[in-house]
Amino acid sequence: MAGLSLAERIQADKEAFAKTGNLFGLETLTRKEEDRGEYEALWHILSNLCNVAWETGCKVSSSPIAVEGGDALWGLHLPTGEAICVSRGITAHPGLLADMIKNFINLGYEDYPGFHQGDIFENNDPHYGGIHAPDFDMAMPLFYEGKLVAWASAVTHVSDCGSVTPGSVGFLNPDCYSDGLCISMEKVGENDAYYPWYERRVRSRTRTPDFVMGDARGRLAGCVTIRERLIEVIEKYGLDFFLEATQEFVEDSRRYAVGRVKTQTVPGRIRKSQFKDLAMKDKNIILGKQDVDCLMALPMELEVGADAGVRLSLRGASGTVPFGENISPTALKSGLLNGYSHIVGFDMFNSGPTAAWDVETPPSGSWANPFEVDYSASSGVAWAPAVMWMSNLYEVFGRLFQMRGFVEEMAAGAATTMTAEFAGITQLGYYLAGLTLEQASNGSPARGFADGENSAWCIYTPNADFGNAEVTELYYPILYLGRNIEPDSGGYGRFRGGLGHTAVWMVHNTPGMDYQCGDAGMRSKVVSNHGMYGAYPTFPDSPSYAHDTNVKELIDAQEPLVHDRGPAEAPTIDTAIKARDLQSPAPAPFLTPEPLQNYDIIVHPISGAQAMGDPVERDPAAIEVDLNKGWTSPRVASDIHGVVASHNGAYTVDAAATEARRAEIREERKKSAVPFKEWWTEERKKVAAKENMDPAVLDMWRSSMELSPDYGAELRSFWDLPDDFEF
Amino acid sequence: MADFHKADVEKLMDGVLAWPAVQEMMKSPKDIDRFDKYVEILQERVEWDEPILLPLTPALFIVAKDGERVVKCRCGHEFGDYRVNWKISALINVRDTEESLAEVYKGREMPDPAWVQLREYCVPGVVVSSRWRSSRGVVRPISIFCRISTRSIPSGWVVRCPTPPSTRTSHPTP
Repeated sequence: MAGLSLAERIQADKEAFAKTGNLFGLETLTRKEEDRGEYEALWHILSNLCNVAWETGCKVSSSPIAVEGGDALWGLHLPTGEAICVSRGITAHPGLLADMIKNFINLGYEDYPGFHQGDIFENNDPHYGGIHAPDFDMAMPLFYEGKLVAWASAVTHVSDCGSVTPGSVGFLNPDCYSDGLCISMEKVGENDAYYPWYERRVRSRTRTPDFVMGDARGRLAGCVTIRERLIEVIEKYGLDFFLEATQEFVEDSRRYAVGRVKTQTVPGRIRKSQFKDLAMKDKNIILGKQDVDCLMALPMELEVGADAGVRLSLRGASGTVPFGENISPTALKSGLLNGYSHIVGFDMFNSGPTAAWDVETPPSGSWANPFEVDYSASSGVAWAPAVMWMSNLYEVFGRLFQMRGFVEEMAAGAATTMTAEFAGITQLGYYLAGLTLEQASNGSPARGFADGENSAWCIYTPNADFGNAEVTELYYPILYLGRNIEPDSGGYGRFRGGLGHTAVWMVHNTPGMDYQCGDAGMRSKVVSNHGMYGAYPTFPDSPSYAHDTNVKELIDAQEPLVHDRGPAEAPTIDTAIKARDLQSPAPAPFLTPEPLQNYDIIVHPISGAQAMGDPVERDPAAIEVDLNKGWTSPRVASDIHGVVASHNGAYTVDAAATEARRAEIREERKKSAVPFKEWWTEERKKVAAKENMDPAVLDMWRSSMELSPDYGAELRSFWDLPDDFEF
Repeated sequence: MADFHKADVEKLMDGVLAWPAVQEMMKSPKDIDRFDKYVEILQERVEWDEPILLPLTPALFIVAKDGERVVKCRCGHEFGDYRVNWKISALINVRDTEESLAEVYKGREMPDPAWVQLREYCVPGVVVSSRWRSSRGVVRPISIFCRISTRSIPSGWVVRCPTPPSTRTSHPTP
């Protein structure tokens, strides 16, 4: 490879992989075989180095998102861009950062403006592989004795990126021109400093420039930390060992991914449907074209080949939406590493596995491949459909692991991501727009052997952390009135998903504050499609708020306030307080039509994850525990799980009566269920007549069938509809 | 290479293996004969003799029968050829009205029936009166009208088949 440019090395690596099936043509892992101890030691030192960068970078950063939530990541890359290892944090990004570095090389930046020690390159532009504008991706070339030997990378989710609405979850953005400040594959600094004009642009076009620049310095501090420590590592182990072993780490990881799929799953094809709604009709919108409800099809077809290669298809994906929920194929594929890191790869997490995973280009004009048809499509919150699509991986791989008997690896589907952002003057008198980290603490999916964990998991970061309530209160003009485990929020099954929680906030000490209940992967009209092995999925997301309330009077009179969400049919907020404008529930997502004021109340639930198995097979003793902890309601225990319990200070399950009740439920099933063929005959008439289908459903089918004609043909064929049938 | 006992795998399936032992299973290299152990356990728990070839779900298995491969439930019910989606031979209960959805979801939890329906698939019936044994010695008739799948999907969703039909005549429309 000596003498080749980086672009030529990328091409040579590509040819070597095609020829040998091994990354970089590495048929043997020589450094690993020669000295496994040193090989492992180097891996752990480099991983730790990235984590030190994360600690340093987050502390140097300013925004609560990075400082309190750790919503950031640092990485170390090969000279040709592949991620070697990364820090903790948002593991959705290593793929994006690796592709960005390759993109800088392939676009000829090695010749102009050239790569030098201390250079800072950034991108956040979805048209060039970025995910969405608030995720500022950065890379620094690292030199040793004049030779480019690696790259350091970083990403932080900034508090405001200057999009049309305040904050960083741009679900309302009508087009890419409203996505905010755009950094399109730029060199933004040199000699370890940002250019002055970079800072001027940030100050001119973001609402929280001190936070955004603070986070920029955090990214830089982490990358410089990696560089300085890396020099020590190279001097200890030698440059040749470093360069060769780091390539082997990536190939080793690819082999691990292939090996795990080969030995723990079965070959074949699995199809998984998934849907996501975006109910926006008659709401506070930006442009007239947005006065519409949308339903998105997020199908996954996964094929495990005989060689354990994994192929993914999105045939049947529905069309773009006039909101921020569109994503480029590059970002979607890069983001897959996120799903991979949760499901398959727990060892040597880097770019290796992507070589073994092939994603068919999604239908052009779909939410997953928008720009060829609609260049102006917005990606303001591209994660929203992407994380829900990736959540299919849980159930898909859970089923595959079950087939081979690896029950300990099984997981049901993921929870949702509904964000809370505030924008307004804080209690300290300055303007702030930003995200709380409540959503980074969902319940975790049910497992093949146990319930999921409560409030301890998040799909976009394994660093699940909703931050300290007291620290959040320092940043935002709110006070926590409650933060409670949400009963029954983990679906209903033999094993339930981990439960989510509900935050109850009172607006406090501000002249006015917007509340944006955002969509980063949530639903309000439909439930998820993760009823694994007969479980019921979790219910839709439904927040509430009360504006212009009598809460001050209640406090003065020392009366009870709203501290929890309360029962589904009798929410606490409905009765505990009075308000001029009570939205209970308030169909999410939304931006409050007018600023909230002091003593207004927000009830913001965070979802649990999905369940697994028939709910009448749940251990009655587990129901008893849930009843006594307030984690399930007597109705769900009785009606869904068939458990008979008495209450005398504490709940006690009656085993014999429970058996009898469950037998009754099975008999009720016998009465209410019909043979499939009988149902199909009646349902076909309804489908042909488009009966009981919301316009959003019809729009979705129409675009799915048009963008993927073979999918359309299958749908018509199944329902025995004419070849020219359209919804 | 780890060598977990069959009894541990059985406890794992029943959700009674102690958490430290489960963690050990997750962290250690996998036992290479896990599939054989798993199938052996499943085979011991059913009251029929056809050999299980591949577990599709914890309740449905592809088995060998008279030279064919068929989908069979743990309760003994047979769904037919493994290449045809078993759902087409199942019982189905669809919740697509507020009233039927309200049996599961209440108040603010309700999904919109014009956007989504719940399709619940049950085993049609019991051929042999089966009693599923667990590692704790509990014997329960849990297989009767066991609900084996719940799909929440918009009206119009197809039941997909292992091989997509290329023409209308070839697909197994009921």
